[in-house]
Amino acid sequence: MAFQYVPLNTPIHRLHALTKLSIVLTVTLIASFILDPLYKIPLILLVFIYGYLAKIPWRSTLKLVAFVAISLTIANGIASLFIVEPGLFKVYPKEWATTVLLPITPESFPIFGKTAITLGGLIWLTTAPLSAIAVITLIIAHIRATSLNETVQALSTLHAPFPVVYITMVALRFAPELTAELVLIQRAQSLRGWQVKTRNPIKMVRLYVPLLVPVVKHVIKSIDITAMATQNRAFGFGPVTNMSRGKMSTKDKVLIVATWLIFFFLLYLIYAKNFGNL
Amino acid sequence: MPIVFDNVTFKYLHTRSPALEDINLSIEESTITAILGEVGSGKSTLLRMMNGLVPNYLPGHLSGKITVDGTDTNSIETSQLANKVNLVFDDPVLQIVSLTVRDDIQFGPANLGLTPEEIDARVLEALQRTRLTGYEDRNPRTLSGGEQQLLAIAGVLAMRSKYLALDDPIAMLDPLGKKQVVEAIRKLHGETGLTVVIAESGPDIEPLMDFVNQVVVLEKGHIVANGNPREVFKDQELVHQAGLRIPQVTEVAYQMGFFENGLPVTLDEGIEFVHKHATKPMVSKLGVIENSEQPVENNEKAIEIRNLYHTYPGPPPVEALRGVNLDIYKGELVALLGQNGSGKTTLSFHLVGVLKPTNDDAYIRVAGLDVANTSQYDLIQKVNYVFQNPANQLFCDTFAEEVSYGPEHLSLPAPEVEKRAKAALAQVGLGHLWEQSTFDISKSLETLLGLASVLSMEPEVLIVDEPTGGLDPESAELVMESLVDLNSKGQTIVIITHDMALAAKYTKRVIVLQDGKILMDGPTAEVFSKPEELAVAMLEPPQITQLGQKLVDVGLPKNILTVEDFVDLVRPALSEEEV
Repeated sequence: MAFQYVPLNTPIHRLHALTKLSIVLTVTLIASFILDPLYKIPLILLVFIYGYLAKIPWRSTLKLVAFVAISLTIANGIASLFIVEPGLFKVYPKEWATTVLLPITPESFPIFGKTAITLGGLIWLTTAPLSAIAVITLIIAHIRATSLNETVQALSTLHAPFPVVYITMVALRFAPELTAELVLIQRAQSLRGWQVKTRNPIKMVRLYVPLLVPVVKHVIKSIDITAMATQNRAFGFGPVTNMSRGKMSTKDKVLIVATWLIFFFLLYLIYAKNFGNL
Repeated sequence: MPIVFDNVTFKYLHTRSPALEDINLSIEESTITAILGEVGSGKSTLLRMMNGLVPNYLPGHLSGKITVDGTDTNSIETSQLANKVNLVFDDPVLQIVSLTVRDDIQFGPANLGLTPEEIDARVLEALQRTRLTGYEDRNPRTLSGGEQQLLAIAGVLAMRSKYLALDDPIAMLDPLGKKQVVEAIRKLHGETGLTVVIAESGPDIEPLMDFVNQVVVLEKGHIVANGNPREVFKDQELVHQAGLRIPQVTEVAYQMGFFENGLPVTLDEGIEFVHKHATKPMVSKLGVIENSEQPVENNEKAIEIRNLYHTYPGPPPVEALRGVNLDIYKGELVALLGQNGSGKTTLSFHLVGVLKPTNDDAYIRVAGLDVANTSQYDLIQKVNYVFQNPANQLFCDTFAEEVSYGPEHLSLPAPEVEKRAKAALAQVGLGHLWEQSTFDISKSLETLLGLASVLSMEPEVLIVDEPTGGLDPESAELVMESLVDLNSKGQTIVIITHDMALAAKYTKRVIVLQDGKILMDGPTAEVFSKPEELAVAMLEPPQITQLGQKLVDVGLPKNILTVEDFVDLVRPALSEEEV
């Protein structure tokens, strides 16, 4: 399963939780600031290397990222038709970027105005899916290589508020259980004749009620019991002992410093020099 | 200073009547106390008060005082009490918060801020005490139910608290899991003198009686009895009024009509009891019980399975079914027994088309339909499945809507839907609740409603997964009587269960699965008369059957299934004065 910690002895597993958290944070931010696919592709390659080192399950990871990337492409498809103004482009040659491949509506078209498939629009269309590929793969690698206790201890070290620590813990712990429960509920309802036969989103929501109500009831019950079980085991008692197998090594410290230095350097380039912009 | 409840009354917010009322109770150190009572009698509330979850987390109106070693539990947070009292819940999955066994045991001590060395030492000890050594890096999801509950216990043991409260700790486990947990508790108590309080709804009372010192009986929030189990169970009227399921050996004494001196509560005491009272020569008096109720066997097969294999892809791949061949005849009431992972659910899911065989030459025919070549729409009208946790399928606002959902989706005309829905509700004795809301209904009502919501589709074959799981004896009886009634009208019913006494009482045929294969298949009395073979599947016959088997040397047969049969056989051997 993709979103699940697996105790392995990989170079990524051996990193301190704070180091891994720094990498996730900085890469996620960079992936969202940089728009140009030419710069996103090397970032994705770096993330894939990270995932390879963490021994992520490639089959389920690629399935998931492909699904999300395709969904985002479809979802953003219509918006990309509106990328027709030269002023939107700061780095790419404006004439080239606004080259119309297929006109859709003319300038005089009511409400929409001019829409078309343009080269710039196609480039813009790749930004969200490519970011998603990088971020999802990185998160899968992070979860696979970071135990729940490490995460809780790292968040405590950062003085994260108690609710944040708790929600993170419960979410990471119960995501696989919830998926299994959803499958079970779906089976139970399909044996009572439940099926989704419409593409109308409003009707679809109504059709999903037989799944959603039992799932919500299950989630509420689970959270309730888990909250009691954790308090019962002194969660919230006071400072938590950090049980990371290795203390923060020099390698971790260097990596954290390097990660943030690179991040701020790129941030400077992005805002001051239009680095990675379209 | 022990745990003391001093005149405690508690009412949850937004409820009309108190969950507990006028509770005065003292739990002494190094004892094992069983809190007995029906579902909803207040057992869980009582346990949750010991570590302050009630009223700190689950608020309400509290009067009186609960103290643990002199500390008022209402005056401090639950987390601050965690090194004094710990609670283990019935569902092990929800209380395991980490993704490896080691991490989970570390969780509590780390929260206490202990040194890493101290935490490591505690983890090691907890692993040893619960026999989980070697499992340190395993993901708890890969453990069996019993091992998961042991992990939950290890997690609280590492807190090194003096008091351990367990809320129905073995209710959700298979027979092997129950055995593992009960033995661990007994060992822990023996080695450490840990004070243990166990809440129990009834079905699993027998294994507890071997080591419980004190029994507290709760009824509708009141303590109605408190003392040594042998003394408490003497009050037969009280036991029945509180809806308790008592050990079968105790029931024997009740039915034989003498229990003033030395009421038996364990198997060994039962053996002694029979020897004491049945003093006449037994061999000449006792006959061999006839299998008067043979399984139905006719030419009409309701279920026919040939060469069924199923392998889950993994990784690693798991062979769940390995060449199953099975015939179940129309009108049979059959129990499917086996440990978790033995293949019961996988087999049943094939019957309703939820899973497909992973071999090409498998053949499954149910109610005359070739499952592989039948759409699910057609299949669910002939065969259906009631899931273990009825909450998995209930979502409507009223009983009427819930029971009508299935037939509505079969595209039946409205009058037919209503007719079926009303008939299904009436079948489970809930006809009067047609318009009632489903909000906040009891577990037994949920189970019956779940059953009715499938019955309304009028399947010829019904598969019911753990029909009495989590129910008290009275509710369990209600559910089982409904199923027996349906069966008597010709419905074929397959029950998946871990409850051997239930299988013994209600079914005429049992099928035992082990490692994806059928290990035993035959009349219930015959299968249960072979304890050695059952042991291969980690199963044990019910206590009453075991009692007969322990007394086989004096002429009792090995296949007694019910207390009534046992008493009928023993009565002629009673000494003159006893008669």
